[in-house]
Amino acid sequence: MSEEPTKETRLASAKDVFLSPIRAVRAIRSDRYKSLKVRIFFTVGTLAGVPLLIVTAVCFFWLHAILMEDFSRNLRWQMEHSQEGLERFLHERTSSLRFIAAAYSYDFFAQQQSLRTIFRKRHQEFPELMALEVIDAQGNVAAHAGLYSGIGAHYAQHDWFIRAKVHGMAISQVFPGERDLQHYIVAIRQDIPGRDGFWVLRATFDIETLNRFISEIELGEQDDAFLIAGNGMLQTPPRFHGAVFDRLALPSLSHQKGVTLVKHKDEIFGNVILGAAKVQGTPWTLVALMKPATLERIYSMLKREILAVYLIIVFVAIGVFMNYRTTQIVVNRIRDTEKARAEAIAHSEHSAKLASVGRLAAGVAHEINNPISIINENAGLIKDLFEMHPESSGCRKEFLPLVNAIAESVSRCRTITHRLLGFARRMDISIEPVNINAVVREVTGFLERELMMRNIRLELNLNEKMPEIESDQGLLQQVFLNIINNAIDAVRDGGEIVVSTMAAAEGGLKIMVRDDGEGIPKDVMKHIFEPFFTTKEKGKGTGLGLSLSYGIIRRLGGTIEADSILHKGTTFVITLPLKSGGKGDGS
Amino acid sequence: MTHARVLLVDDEVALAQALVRRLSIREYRATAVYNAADALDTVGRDAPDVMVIDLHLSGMLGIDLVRAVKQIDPTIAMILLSGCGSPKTERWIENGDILDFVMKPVEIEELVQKIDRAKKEHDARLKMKESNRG
Repeated sequence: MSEEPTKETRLASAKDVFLSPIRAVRAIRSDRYKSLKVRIFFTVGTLAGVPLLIVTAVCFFWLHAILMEDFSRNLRWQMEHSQEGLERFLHERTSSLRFIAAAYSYDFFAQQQSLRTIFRKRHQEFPELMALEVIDAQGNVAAHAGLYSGIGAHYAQHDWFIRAKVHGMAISQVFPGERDLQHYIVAIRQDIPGRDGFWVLRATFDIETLNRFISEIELGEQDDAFLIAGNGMLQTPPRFHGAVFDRLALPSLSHQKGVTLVKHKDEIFGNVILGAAKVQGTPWTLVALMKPATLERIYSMLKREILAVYLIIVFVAIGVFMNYRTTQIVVNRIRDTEKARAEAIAHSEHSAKLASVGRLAAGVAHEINNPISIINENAGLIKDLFEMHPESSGCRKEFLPLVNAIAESVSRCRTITHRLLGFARRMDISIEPVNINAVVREVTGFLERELMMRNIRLELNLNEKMPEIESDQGLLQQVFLNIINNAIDAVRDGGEIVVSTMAAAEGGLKIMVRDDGEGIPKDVMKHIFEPFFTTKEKGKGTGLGLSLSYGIIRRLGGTIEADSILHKGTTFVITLPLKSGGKGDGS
Repeated sequence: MTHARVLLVDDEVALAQALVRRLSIREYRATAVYNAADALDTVGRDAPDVMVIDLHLSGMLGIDLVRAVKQIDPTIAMILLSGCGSPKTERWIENGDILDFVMKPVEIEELVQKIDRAKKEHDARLKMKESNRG
């Protein structure tokens, strides 16, 4: 058979909760210490954890900002370095070309042979030099020397030619070239002395040199750097962003001198830092797209400071554990306090109930005493009359047993009312110095015969150093007699009773009477101090002994409690103050 | 010894009457009154030898009546009837206020015994009084 609840039983239990919200609320209430624990734990955890989180977050962002600044500074420095290198290189090349152009006349250069000689020498010195050309003022090629045969081109409308004509020097964008040899051009204008004319020396360079300067920038795995022309056209091969001559959509870059850094959302890398530096005297801007790897750096820093991280984790764990423990302790204290309070209330309710039941019993006994007396005297009178008149012997035979039965019943009533009235309620307290040990000895003396007959061992553990107390000796005798008598009734033949006296922790004295009898069941225990409650067989006990003892001890300002373990025995503990107030209610 | 003249004071009329009859059967000259005023009146007119007084009289405590009677005739021996014993009654006996006390419901033999003892005491007091006078 399946152990799982069937659909019906599940429905039924759900219906129970629905039908009986009180039961459901009780179930929650019994769990309320658990929920209190959870609430306190999380409240304290939040109170302690939130500041910690805030400090951690602030530290994180602070560290992040520092690393970001460090990264930016490094990028700026590298780009400046690269830009300066490039500018210096181009400056050297232009200076060198300018020198060559100034060193010889136009007629000299116009001879193909002499230009070739110069090219060869220059090429040995600068391998990236691909060609030299001499161009007249109209833009026609006058002579060509280079790695490849020249093309008879006309340059008058070329941008670099116009700029060289105006500014004396120009550096062009990168061209694909006829043979797929990407190159750029440096053009130098040279005036012809005395003739009011000029010519242009055109040098073609391979872009490899440019790449060299770009590669000086340290790049991470997902970084990119390249040269870009004013119109967004790539001038050197990028790593990820397409190929040379592609156009890139980048934010409008400043043309200021130096490096500009901006945040940029790149379509390949996402959020990156974009560094831009205009290369002076050229149409180029040096661009670097770099991912600021601050998180990775923080991680690697933490890895380095593994001990600190370990300590922090331990600290947090200790914090959580202490929070857990403190919560447990606090909630347990609350639970204990509430339990103690509930017990105290139950105890005082019990005491109040016993007191009122005791008062009621005494009141009833007092009221009943007079009618019983009348019954008694009249029954007695009937008896007397029969005895006075022997002639009525017929009636006498019949009536006398009846009258005797009345007298017998009255006698039984008298026992009860006298015990009720005589010992506890209707007696005034007479306070005098009392030696408790002497009282105990006296009472046990009365019982010696019975103890001996039943072979019960009586042990007296009396503390002789106890002070005398101000109390009522006669009443205390009654109480001890009651309780020790009960103990004798409780133990089997050959059993043991221990009476101990000691100083009480809260001042005053404590008397303990312990027996090794059968003990008192829990449900009986609740009632033992109530009047007329007895477990003894009919006629053996009135059920008043403990009730009266309770009343007496309360009136003497003490307490009386019983504790019992089934099949192990019962202990009665009586505490008495050093001075009884005698707070009796004599009436 | 002649039987004592007994005055019973108890506000429970039925009880007092029954006791008076039972004592009369035993040849005591017993009468009953049911309040303190009548008791004092009777003592003034015809003092009994022994008085049996209930502790709880309506309007007055028996012990106060005892003290009042003592003022009038200190030779009368008095027994207190009480629902219960108490150290106070013991003290009253020690003080000589009362001679004895009997607990309700009364055992007639006990009461008779105590009345006899009281009568002796009364006689002794009377003798002492006379010898003092003489």
